[in-house]
Amino acid sequence: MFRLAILKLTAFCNLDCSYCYMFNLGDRTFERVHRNMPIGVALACLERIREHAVAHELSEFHVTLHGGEPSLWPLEDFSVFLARAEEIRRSDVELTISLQTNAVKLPQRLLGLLAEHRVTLGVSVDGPREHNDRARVTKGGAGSYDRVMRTVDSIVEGQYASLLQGFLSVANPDIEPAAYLEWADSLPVRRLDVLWPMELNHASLPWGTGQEARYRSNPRYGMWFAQLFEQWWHRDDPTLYIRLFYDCIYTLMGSPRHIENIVNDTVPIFVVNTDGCIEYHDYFRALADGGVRTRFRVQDDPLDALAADPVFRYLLDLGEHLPAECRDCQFGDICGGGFLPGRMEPDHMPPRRRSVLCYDEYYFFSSIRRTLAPWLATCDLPGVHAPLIANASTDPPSLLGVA
Amino acid sequence: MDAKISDTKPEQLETEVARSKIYEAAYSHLQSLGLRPGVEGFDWSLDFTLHFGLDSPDVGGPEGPGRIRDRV
Repeated sequence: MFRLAILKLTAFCNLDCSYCYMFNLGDRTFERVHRNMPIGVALACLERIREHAVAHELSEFHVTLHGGEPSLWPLEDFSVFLARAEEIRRSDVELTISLQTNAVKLPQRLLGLLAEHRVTLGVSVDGPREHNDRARVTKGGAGSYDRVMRTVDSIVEGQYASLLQGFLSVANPDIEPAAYLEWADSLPVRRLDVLWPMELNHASLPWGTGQEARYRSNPRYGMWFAQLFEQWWHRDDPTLYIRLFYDCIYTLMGSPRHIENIVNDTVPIFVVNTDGCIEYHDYFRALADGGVRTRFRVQDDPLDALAADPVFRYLLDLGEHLPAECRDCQFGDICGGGFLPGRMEPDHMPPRRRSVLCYDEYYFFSSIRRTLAPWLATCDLPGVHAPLIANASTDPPSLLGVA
Repeated sequence: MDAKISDTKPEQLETEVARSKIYEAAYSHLQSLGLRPGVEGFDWSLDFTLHFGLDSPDVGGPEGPGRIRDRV
């Protein structure tokens, strides 16, 4: 069963971020679909979700409003959509709704609607201004940081401050970890997540030709995440919430919950594009044009029909498809084959192999394990990650070639 | 950037275990969700997250994450 829907309310954006998987990597679907999701399609999404939740007795279901830039969707459509969502909440299932925005511009009327219907906001921003503005730029190439933070400040200082749940950034090893933490400390809401890069996969490796051995010893992203974690841990300020780090700690302490980015046991997620086509997760968008598209349409097909699709089936049962090369890895449980975008390979869906970020993730998990080992040894929660303690090793990554 | 993983030995940290506020916050959070000794986990569906969608951890105590930072 599915538990989360990502709705593409728009297929356009008021920024032009260099790494954007919607517009600037392999997928050109945005050129072939509606700019705005028609309200009828959006309401059909809600109906499919309601049916699915009722049929599977789900007490809640999460909807992420996404794009393009979702805040550019017509305000009158937001009003109709959220009113219907409210009806479903009252009668059938608790819909939790969030909107992931670039926060370039968020009209007060939209904020009012979001507040009225308990829609939370996540803001995408990639670290300190000088780093953010290299990638997150306007169509004219100007940096977006100052404009975004002005919007954020206006929200925080106004009546809708509670909407703002946190910030989402993409890992950037060019940022010194100490500088990143200093920046995070300065945010008006000290709550953020850091994503592994989504543009790296088996067709776009993190190392250059002939450089794999060198990369294996110095995995750029893994080292950056490890340093960031270590500095965050030693600062010991639990109110600076970095979701990936807490999720790793929870998992090592025995939490059985599903976690985005790590564990990778299931992906109960589908995407609906503006034309109503039900798509695979955005994670697969970078590799090929149209690679996420399916034959299913939210206007015609119940969500249970998706279970007949081999890729959706594979993703729902992802934990059963741990790559063979990962089965003896001491981090198999927490890594689960690695961040999904990195597992993609040309002309093969679903993914079969471990992530090309394997060296990075191995390094990162090694670092966390070493830092946490003394605390985990005293942890009395059931399911605490004992094998990691028993096998605590300080060895650097020792892997066979990915490529 | 040079590789640097903490070389602190477990025995050196023995006396510091109880002083990790992050560990205590994470422990309290899991306990609040029902993951405590003698209990078989909890319904992870209640804690499923994408970015910040559903995530509402209690870490950080009464002034935990999500609070608006004091304006300087």
